[in-house]
Amino acid sequence: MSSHPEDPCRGGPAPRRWPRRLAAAALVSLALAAACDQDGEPRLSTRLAEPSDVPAESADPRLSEQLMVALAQAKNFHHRAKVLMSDGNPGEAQRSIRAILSLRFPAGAPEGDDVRADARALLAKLMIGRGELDEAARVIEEGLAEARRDSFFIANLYTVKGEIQEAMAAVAEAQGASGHAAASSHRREAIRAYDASIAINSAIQQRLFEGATP
Amino acid sequence: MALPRPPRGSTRSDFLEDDVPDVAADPSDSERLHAISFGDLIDKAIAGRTPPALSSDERALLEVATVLRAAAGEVELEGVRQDQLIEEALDAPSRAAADERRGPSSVLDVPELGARRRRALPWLITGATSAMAAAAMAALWLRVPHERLVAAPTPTPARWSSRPADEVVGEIRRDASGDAAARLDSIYADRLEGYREVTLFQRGGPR
Repeated sequence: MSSHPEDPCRGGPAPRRWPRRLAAAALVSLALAAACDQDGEPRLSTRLAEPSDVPAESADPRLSEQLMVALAQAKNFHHRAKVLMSDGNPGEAQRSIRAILSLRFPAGAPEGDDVRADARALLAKLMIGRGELDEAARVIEEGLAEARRDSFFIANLYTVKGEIQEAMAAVAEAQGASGHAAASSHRREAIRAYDASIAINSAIQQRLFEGATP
Repeated sequence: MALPRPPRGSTRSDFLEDDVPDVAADPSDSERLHAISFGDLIDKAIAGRTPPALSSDERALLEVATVLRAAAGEVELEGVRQDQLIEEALDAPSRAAADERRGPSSVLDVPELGARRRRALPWLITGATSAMAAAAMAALWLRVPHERLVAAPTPTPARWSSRPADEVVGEIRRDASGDAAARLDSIYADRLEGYREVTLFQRGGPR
């Protein structure tokens, strides 16, 4: 009895079989798990969009750190100009606004176009306040020449252009009879600028409304 | 006060087998002497000083006297014995529970269980549980559903893309044409929200 090889109470070869039994149990468990998974078709699911789905080379590239940095710098220049203007230093404020025009936005970023156009409008208005009408008109014309699409910011440039033309008409009118024709010309130019602004605004409003309507 | 006991060899040691004396008769001197001697013996027994050697008659009488005294409720156990009995009574439930858990018989109870087996038993238990855990992990891994795209991905939200800021600022009124700083604040806040989603919440972490 004591020499029986399978006697669990004695020594002998019986204990050495336990590891093999454990391994066999593990293999059986794995086989059962794999069998449970072989239930036919894979599960159906709809994958949600990930930010990485926006290709970098698409028409609307993904928001990038470079864009956010440029926007933050433009914000700082604008607020600096605001402080300078409230401090009675419009010349330095203009230089601060001009710095926005030299910021490096990502290539083709629409936000860059919009920010630059808005900076030009503000710069022109500052120049109007200082009587620098020709320089203001040049800043606006440069902005309109750079425009690659219509936007509320381009419409705003036309609005400021109209203001410049009104100011020029007033100056011409102040010269007396010799300036009357020039004043009329500036007023007509102002009306055309305002009409352009209204037309752009109407088109964009219509486009946004149609885009928002399901 | 104690009187000398009768000698061992005297015939009085067999008085239990003698005839029953007359009840009305006066006790004899020997009877008185024996009564006194037996009383002394009982006193010693109660005090725990029982003589090591006794005649069979005296031992029988002494046992009868002890039983009568115990039946009268005058016996009190010694302090050590009392403590021992109390401890046994208190330990009885735990011993019974331990016996129940152990079951009627177990390999662990076999005295012949080898030292090698006892050393190997924890490893066997650990190995068995580890094998089960590995099997469970493998089962979870194998059961990961195979994703199949049955519909086009949901459209990419516009807020993740660089785009015109018209819908953020709206139409610019003439009296607000110079308020570029406020408009830029709105644009920046809007783009920052989308940028956070792009960088913080996409699969695989920030880029």
